[in-house]
Amino acid sequence: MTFEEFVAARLGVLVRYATVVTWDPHLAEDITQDVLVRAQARWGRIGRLDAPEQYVKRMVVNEFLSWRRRKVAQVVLVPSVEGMTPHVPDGTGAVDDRDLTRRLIAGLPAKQRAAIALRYYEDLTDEQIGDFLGCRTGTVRSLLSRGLATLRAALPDRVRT
Amino acid sequence: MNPDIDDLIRDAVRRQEELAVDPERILTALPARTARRRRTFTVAAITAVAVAAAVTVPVVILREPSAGGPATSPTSQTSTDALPPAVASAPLRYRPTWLPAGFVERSRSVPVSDPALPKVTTDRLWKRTSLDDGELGHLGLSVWDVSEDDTERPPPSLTGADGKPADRSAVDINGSSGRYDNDIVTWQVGHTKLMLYAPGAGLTKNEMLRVARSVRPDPASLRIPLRVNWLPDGVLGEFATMQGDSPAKWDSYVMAEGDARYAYVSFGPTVPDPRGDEIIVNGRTAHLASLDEDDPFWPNQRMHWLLTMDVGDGRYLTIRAGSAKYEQVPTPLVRDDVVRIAESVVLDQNPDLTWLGR
Repeated sequence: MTFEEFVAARLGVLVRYATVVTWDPHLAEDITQDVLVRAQARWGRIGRLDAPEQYVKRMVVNEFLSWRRRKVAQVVLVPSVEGMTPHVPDGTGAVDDRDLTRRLIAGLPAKQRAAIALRYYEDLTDEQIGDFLGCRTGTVRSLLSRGLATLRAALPDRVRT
Repeated sequence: MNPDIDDLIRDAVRRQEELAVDPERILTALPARTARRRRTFTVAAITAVAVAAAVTVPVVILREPSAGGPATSPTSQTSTDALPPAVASAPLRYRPTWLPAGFVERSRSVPVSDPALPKVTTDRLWKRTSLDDGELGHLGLSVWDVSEDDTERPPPSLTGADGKPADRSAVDINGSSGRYDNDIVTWQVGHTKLMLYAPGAGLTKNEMLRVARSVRPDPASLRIPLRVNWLPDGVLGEFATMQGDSPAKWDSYVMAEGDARYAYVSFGPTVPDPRGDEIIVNGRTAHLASLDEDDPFWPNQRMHWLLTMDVGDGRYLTIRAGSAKYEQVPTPLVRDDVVRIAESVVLDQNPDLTWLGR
């Protein structure tokens, strides 16, 4: 697969993935561009990998968590609640819960946020997340545990945990 | 039925996914981005912002700069007039002329390489509390330049779940169109982008806009108290930061990276933990350790070298160097690289600390 073929086939997936990992569409756009530029330069090697998409996705995570981005990564853009339309009609307060959940995730430290994204968006195992984040499985569990604890503590009691 | 937290999170990530920008935008911008990335820079670019410093007070000049350094040698840095003893400086560009009560300046960060390097911003940060308290609550101003193409770029095509544009309040910042989004205000002046952000600071929209509208060009420069005159080929200085709570508690550093390698060179009163063997660098005792461990501050960076050195006056030089964890590193940094970096550093023992905490 050439780089052009990869981009044509997977760019949409990649930018959506970056948007979830970073929780910021602007930063995701920026990171995706940077990563693609770097990937293009090394495509001779990346393109020969069994799973080039996974490699590029890992580059996205690395870029997000890298020191160069750390200041920007603290800034999370969350569209205002009133601008969002719920997926389903709702009259039970669940809409509030969903909006609150999004905002709470946005407020998590970058690494916890990324771990949650990889678990709930990519359905990765602890080991796979550890590989992406460059940390041990125990650290992944800790990141997820702390992230979920933050959400549980802030969500209403009616939310089953 | 009460919602399950797993369901809520899955719903959240699904809705977040829908905010992704149009991939076509990324595709369109890719050629320009590639061109910028391919530009080559020499280490001399690091000193492009350097002041021809007049050394009137004891500046630690560790070594005559190598061939890759500036044309002037330390011995030529003689006192000529009342110029400050800064070893480098860079413009701060903009500042807010109004801040909510209690915010004081804690950090300044400037590019130290070619200004065309993408996303190397000039940053200033104000905070009511200590930088080290682990809390957000700061007010930051980032400034960077964009190309003409970027100027013409349409706003992000964000849509809600129903396909309608999401609400991102348009605002006017002194005649420039901008956007307010929660704790962030962005606007553009010519080809310069400005972003004011205050995560967790508890500022109202009116306060954020008042700060944004008070932003004016600032002729002041940041005097960077250290200069790195030599870096390995391909490792480029990106930005220098000076930060702290007060003149008694501060830190400064230059960050450099390239070809999946990095070097962090810091100078300040923070006492490092010496590790490794004793070596002599320009006549001073230093410690150099060969390591293979995660960098304590940079995720996904593997620290291979740590050099620490007491440079007198209760101040220390620290160099952390290594490589990106998941990247193939064609030319890893070796011991001589780190020593040579240390030898090339020029320090200003009388840094301008007057703005810290003010």
